[in-house]
Amino acid sequence: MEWLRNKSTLQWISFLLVLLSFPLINYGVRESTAVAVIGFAMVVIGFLIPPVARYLTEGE
Amino acid sequence: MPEQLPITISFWLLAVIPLALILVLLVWLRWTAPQAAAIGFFTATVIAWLAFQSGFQVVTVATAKGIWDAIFILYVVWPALLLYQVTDKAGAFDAIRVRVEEYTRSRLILVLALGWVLVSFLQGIAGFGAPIAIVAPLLVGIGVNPVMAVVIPLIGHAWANNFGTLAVAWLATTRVVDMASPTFTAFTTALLLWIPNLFAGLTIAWLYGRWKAVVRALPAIVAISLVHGGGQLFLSTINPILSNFIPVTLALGVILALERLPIYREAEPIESPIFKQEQMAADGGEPKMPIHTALFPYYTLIVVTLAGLLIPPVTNFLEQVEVGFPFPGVTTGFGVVTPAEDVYGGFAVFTHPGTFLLISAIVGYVLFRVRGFYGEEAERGILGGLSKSAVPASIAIFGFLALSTILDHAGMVTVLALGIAAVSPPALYAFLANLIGVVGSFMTSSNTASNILFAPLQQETALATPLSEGRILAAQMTGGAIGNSIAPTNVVLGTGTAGTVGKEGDVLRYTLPWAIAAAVLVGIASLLFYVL
Repeated sequence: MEWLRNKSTLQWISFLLVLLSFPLINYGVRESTAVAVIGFAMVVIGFLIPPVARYLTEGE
Repeated sequence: MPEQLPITISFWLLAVIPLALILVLLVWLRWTAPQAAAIGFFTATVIAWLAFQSGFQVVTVATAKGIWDAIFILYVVWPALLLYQVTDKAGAFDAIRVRVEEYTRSRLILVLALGWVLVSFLQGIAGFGAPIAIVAPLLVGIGVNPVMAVVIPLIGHAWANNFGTLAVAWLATTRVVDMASPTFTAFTTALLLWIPNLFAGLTIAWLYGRWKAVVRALPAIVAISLVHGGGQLFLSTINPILSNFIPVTLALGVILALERLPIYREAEPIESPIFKQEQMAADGGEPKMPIHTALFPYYTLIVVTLAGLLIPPVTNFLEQVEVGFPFPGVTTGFGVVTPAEDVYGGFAVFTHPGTFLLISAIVGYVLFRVRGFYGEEAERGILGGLSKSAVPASIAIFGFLALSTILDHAGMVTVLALGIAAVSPPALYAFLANLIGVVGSFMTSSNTASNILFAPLQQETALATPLSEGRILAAQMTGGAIGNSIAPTNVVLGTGTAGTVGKEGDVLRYTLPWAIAAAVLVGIASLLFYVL
């Protein structure tokens, strides 16, 4: 679980989750609510990472 | 405006919470931009959902639009950071610093030349944050400490926003409001924009060496401001599209001439706290790279940008490829309607500043590699350096722009603006009108977006009161320009390229008071227009 303390890895995960949520939400809001829910969940997790990582990586 | 939308003090306070929270987290608690942006996003989402009756569809559509808006900006951020890494790792900034200091011995004039004149020129042609991303590392390269290297161009470029980038923000405004007199509005806007222009020159000199530096730089500041502000004022009634580009280009020649003046040719007598001590001590080293080789990526940037934007057949050809996505319409429980769009946020990929920056970065990389300026370690460091600064900057930009579209789609922006309009008598509104523009730019990191969001409301308010429509719209556009100095996206772009990621709060500690002071000065001018 050491990767959880690696700031760079966490930043990449956060960035990719938010970026890749775009096609899902864009498709989901037009065609399928379930897909939009998955996309929005990715955004929420992606944006949760920076404040959580603040504590995981000792305030950095 | 939807009649059900409650314009009350409690809803106004709820609408302002996400913006206030971001400022508190960044400026007072010194959180990094990605952390503050994430908290701002969650706060805006919860308030939109629970208080502003914005259901799942509204929030998700707004979030996706914000992410798409961010991708538009990130297409500047990543190539700009790549250009910085390509140039830095080859040692080009060392060459630029040494050669530029040989050309002018006055560091004060050099800082004004880069942080006010060059950044304004770049805003005149490129915009979208690119001027900050280019000038901040150049200032670091000549030895300015990284926080100040971001602060100075943020302040220096703000005035050039409305008529810069070939007047994109002005043109957008003319599309959303039907002005009674576009010529009068353009003239008044240019007049008000002269205030942040002159104020920027004075502030940069003050930051350099307090009042001694202001006095020493005064002749240069007056000359440049006459060209910048006066030139834009003169041309605003003739051709608003070129009213910024022509003066900022002329100013490049003026600053080169000023550096030849006897008073600026002597060694700089004023010590400046903005220069890093170790950098000053390192002066005198002989760089391996010739100056024109070091500047070649930037020459390329200027040539491809001018060719891409100012030669109509080339522009028309390049603008054929446009990317955008369809979105359904959404309505909140309060009846705030956002119509469906077939192509939301469509942008022409090949005339986007990101493409020009990418071409410049590739040209620079090939040139430096062929000439053997990269060591093995340095070349490998390009992608590492890019990742280290671009990824956190990108998360922050995603967060800030998703937050801004949620505020917009939920009607929170309307409540903010209408709340100010509802409680302000005409004289107070004349004073505060530009502050609405500042808030719009702070939220969206864009003068254009601020004008699109608020110009219709400003016009509506002016027409319902004894206020002059043209002057209120001018205040809006000027506020929109000033707000770019505190726009989190611009700040993040600067900290990313200046190698000072995480110091966004330190930057805002300087640019926020400047923006407030500039808004107050513009507010006083607007008030005088109303009273006299």
